[in-house]
Amino acid sequence: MTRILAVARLEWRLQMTSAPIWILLIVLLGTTSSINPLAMIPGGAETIGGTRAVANSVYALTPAFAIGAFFAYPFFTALIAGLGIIRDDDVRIAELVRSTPLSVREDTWGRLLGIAATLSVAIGLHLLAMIAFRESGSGGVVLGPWSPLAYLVPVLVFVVPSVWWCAGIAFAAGSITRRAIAVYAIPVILSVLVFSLLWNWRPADIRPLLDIVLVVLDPTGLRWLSHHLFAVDRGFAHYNHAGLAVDTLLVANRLVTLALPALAVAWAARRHAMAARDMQRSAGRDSTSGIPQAVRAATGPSFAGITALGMAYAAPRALVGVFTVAWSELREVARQPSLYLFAALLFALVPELAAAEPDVYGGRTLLSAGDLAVRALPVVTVLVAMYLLALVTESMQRDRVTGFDAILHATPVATGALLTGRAMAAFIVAGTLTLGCAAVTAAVALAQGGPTVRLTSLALVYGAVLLPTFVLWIAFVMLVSASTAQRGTAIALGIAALLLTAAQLISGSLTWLTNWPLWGALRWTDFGTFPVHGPALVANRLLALGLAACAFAATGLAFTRRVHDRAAARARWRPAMVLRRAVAALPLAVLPVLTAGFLAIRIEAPRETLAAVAPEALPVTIRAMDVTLRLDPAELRLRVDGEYLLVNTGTAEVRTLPIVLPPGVDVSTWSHEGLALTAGAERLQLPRALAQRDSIRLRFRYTARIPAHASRNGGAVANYIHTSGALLSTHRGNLLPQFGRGSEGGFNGSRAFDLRLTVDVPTSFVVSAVGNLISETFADARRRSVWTSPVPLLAVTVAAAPYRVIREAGVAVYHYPDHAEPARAISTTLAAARRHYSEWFGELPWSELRVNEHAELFTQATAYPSAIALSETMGFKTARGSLGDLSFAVTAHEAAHQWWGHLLHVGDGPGDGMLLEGMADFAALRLHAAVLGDSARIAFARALEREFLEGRRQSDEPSIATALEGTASHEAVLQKKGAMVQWMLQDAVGAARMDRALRALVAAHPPGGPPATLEAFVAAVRTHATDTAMVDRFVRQWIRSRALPAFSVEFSRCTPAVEGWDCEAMVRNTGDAEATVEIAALRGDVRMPTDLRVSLAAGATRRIAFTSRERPDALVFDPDVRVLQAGRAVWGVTP
Amino acid sequence: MIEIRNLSKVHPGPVTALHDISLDIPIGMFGLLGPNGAGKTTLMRILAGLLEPTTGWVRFDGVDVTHSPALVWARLGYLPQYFGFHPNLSGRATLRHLLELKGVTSPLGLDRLCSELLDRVNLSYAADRPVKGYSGGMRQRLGIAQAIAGDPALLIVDEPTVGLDPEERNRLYRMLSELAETRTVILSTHLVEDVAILCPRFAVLRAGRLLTTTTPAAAKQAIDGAIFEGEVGRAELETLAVNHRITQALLVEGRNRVRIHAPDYAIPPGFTATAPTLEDAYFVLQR
Repeated sequence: MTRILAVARLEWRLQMTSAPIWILLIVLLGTTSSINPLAMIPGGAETIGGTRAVANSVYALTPAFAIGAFFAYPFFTALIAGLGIIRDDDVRIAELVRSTPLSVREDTWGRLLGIAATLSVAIGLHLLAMIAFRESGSGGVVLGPWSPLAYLVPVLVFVVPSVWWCAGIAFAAGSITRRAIAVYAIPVILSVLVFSLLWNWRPADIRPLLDIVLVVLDPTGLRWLSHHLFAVDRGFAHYNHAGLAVDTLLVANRLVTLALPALAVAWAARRHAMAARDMQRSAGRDSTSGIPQAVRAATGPSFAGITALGMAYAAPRALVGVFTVAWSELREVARQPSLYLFAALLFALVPELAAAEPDVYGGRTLLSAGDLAVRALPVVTVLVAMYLLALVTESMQRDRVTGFDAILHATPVATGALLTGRAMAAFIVAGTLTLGCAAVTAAVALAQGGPTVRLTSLALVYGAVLLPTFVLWIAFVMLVSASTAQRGTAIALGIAALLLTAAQLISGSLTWLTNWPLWGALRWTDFGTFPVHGPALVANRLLALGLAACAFAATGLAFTRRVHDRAAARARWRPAMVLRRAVAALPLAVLPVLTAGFLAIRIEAPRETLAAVAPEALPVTIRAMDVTLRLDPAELRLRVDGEYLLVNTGTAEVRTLPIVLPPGVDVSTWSHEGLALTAGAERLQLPRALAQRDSIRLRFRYTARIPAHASRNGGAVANYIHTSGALLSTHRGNLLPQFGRGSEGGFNGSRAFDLRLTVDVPTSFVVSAVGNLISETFADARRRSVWTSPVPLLAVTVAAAPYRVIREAGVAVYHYPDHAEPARAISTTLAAARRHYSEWFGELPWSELRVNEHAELFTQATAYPSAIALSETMGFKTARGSLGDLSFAVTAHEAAHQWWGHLLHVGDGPGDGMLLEGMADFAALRLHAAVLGDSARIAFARALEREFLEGRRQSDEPSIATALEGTASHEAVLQKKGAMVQWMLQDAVGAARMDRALRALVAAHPPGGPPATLEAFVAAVRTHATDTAMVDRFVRQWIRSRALPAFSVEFSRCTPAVEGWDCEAMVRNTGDAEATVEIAALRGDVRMPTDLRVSLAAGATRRIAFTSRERPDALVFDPDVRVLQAGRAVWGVTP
Repeated sequence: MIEIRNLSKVHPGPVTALHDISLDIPIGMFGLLGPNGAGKTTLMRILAGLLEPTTGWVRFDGVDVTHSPALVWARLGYLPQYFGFHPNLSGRATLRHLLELKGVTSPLGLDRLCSELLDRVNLSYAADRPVKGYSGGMRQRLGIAQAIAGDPALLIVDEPTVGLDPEERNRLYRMLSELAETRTVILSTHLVEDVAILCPRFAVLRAGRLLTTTTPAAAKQAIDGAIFEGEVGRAELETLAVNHRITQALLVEGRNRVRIHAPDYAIPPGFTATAPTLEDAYFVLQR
């Protein structure tokens, strides 16, 4: 015991004087404040009224501690625990230790005790930091009563076992392999496994046993938290007060998490002991004993002189030195199995990283090679950076650790060649791995059978975009390694740099200036090569290369080939010397300074909200506009010349107007009847006072660059003008000036206006705008089109690009030339939608209904009047499905908004939102049935039902009548449940009567007319229904309450009969709503005729009986998905 | 020709490792003799350009080593006292790598040259085995092979005979002698025997100070007639040590055979005059 304690004390002392523990402490302090405590609590982030989740409950703190333990500890824990024995080898103390009476077991447990003491300091600080941060109420969170157990329980249940797991496994890996790279691999593998499998992989049809195995094996406990503890919404009242609901699954998980590393350590100790015994046995053996005597005699020493060898000695040329060092490094790397294991892991992950998640209809997105590469980029960057961190650190430390530096540093090879050779080797490894990723990506692109695989896209993304990241990272790691001259410190600093960047990403403070790995910055589009963000991206990459050059030069200074004398070093740091060095280094600083300066100027400031920009309510309404837009893509500019007809719709006289100009417009000129008006930056002086209901015409002009600046960190851009295309709108980007902030939000306070729009573009561009195209002329290499609308509009959009156009029966699809195939499918759907919706809901006033494809710089499907904006992945890259797909569903949904949103003026009260999104999905559901058949309708209905059940918050679920737009869980009620309820209502009143009611509703609430409400809708249906009492009952249950039916089979039995089988079953409605449903019997996938239809009140049970020619093996309620229900399942028939 | 002037090295502490050393080292074999901690390795590393002195300078054939060490590295063969090799590389691959880094050429070609050099140090039989399987002596021989490669103008060998058996030590002596015919070879050692065999001139260091620069013959000449030898018991040895300067005390067949330096001719009973050895001279100088 004394010896164990002595070893523990020494280990503790060594660990507490090493960098990894101190960097871990700093990281813990940093991450404690950045993790959202309510991240996992269902609806915890919502702030709408009522009870809110508190941030210091055990339910809030458990995920915060568990996520913190997963993000912050593993890498540092592995360094602390795994490098101890390797450190002994490095300093050649291992044999000395082995010669003492200390047994391997004592050594092992003593070390672990010291490591545990070290990590306890970190865990203790983590706990204290969390208490201080949470209880101070930072971040504006709501606090409950202080409870020490709420903090202690997560630490003991989650943090301690997770940290022990990583420490034990890393210790065992270091002890067994004696290779630092194996120790680094532990946290990398853990991260990949947890992210891609244990935490996040959980398909809907996962086998329960597999799910349980994954929960039990997950050392972080995050799978249990995400998919078991928080899978059920228990409501804030429970989360705020109850103790942690520990179940047997968690107990099993924690026991396995504790036991696995213990077993690994015991195994390592046994191996270690056996190795020590073997070494003792072989000690004293002549190392030439393996060589047969005859061989030794035959190859005996030569006594010839050495001058006869004719050797000459001259310093190698710089390039020869570089290649010699690089070749030697590469041979060393090629000998390591870790390279091949890592490459295999990386290449296996790329298809997973690149592939798009299946959409809600089970369809796939056929991504182009560029898409796939950009999707894979962030994780490839992280993983390769981690591997390079280990590789470069080892490369920089190997000579010191082995003692080879004593000889190497006295050779004539230049220091620059030594460092360049190592950097080149690391770059070749990174380049090879990147090339492998590109090859896998190309294979994935070819295998999915989507658009043409363009190798130039892969070369661009993996080459020009990604490789500078690795160049910078290699230079940074070399600098850190050279400066610290300690393996553990270098690795810890590298990981800290990665974590710091991740923390910046999470907090939203990354910009083009600081985002060296380009996380979250890139979006791929087939329309062009990184349009809009191109200049910022190029500057960012040049900045990375410039910084790499600086870091590399600094490495040369920090690299200790010759040990400098302190006194002499002081002389070197005299101001004159420093100045001279600074001047000499100036050329290196030119590129970083220029690119950083460019980015600093180009990056936009954090955007202010409209409320901050225009605090005043809208004093006037735009009644009509006549606007000319001139687009100059080569200059990225828009010139606007327009006239508004304004009406004072307020109650007070108006003399001045608050101007809200589009972003990037600083100066605008205003005039009235030829007289210039005084316009400040924010306010316009009217030529006369505008009395209530009085109107005035104002003319305006301005020039804008859109977007005005590089966005802070790339990402989405909703409005842009670029050489490859332009997308402008009033709805998502303030294309046109406004006056204050409307109470209803949206452009012009969501009030309709008459429009005459002239769009002037180069002839290479084809334009699609809103309304009807009434003329198109060509002059001076420009295309000039004029657009008007027979009905007032709510919004304006203009899409322009070198489009191809598909036209048929009153519809047109403007698409990117390479997307012709999906565009044809969209055109067919759009034509069908126009035909059927016109029949069901009334005629469309516009001559053409268009879909405008636009670059995936912004992912959207937005319906403008007569024009639907779809980004590439919203249907133009969708694999066709026989039972419908995303392309069909989105086109059908957005086409429906022409009626439900543009021809019907919808109110903004509770429940009114159903007339927008609910009606659009209902129309899409009907279109599935009408065009694709009932099977497609069933598949779409299943998707609607599933999305509603997953999207609602059971503990706080509103009825349709009380749901409000703007909250995700409420929108699931308005849209998904709303669509299914419309379908059931149509079943109840009949399609023809329902259509009449809907047409009447649309006609009664035109744009600019009185807004339609939910009550107006109910009234319209009652008017056209034959059984109003039935409608009232329906509305009471499905619209005014949140009740849902749910069905189960209590028992079922089939017995042989003369002509088949006599079957009986006891069925039950376990829900709280009454419903009439069909019950089908299934044999395999085949439906058997039973003609069973039952009405079940909430909680009611009923016996059913039927005869079947063949023995059924399952029963299913509502096989045609006509009734919304919870817990839809297939019930097996008892044999 | 190496010129060393006013060379001092102060390590943080401060610990003075070298104190105002001035020395000229001509072509040929030159020994640096001193006990552990005398500053030999510090001086060797400064001469090899791997350690910056605190004050003073070193020139090799007129080239300032203290300011431009890279100029010396291009002409240097260096065997440090402590060194290692990449454990997974074979002896041949290691040597070839170093030959490439040094820019060594030979009409034989590098592969053949490696074989020849390994043959010279008697490592041919283990040339293709990973270095991690080498004994201490084998590693030392591989170190010697790389140091002599390329016909360097200056050869610095720090404790080269450590770990070598007598046969290999003789082979090394022969090689160094051959090399020293046309260049400067500096041998740092704490073994007087090495210097006695190899060095026509040598310097003695103690506690960072240069005690003398001399030849073996001159060193012995300086104490000629003042060395006496006799046998004493264990109890008498302690008394003898108090009253006389013992240069050597060896156990021969269980008896203490003692040599003393008695320039005042105060000779203990039973002691007779004997010819001085270099070891006697070294011990006298050290005291």
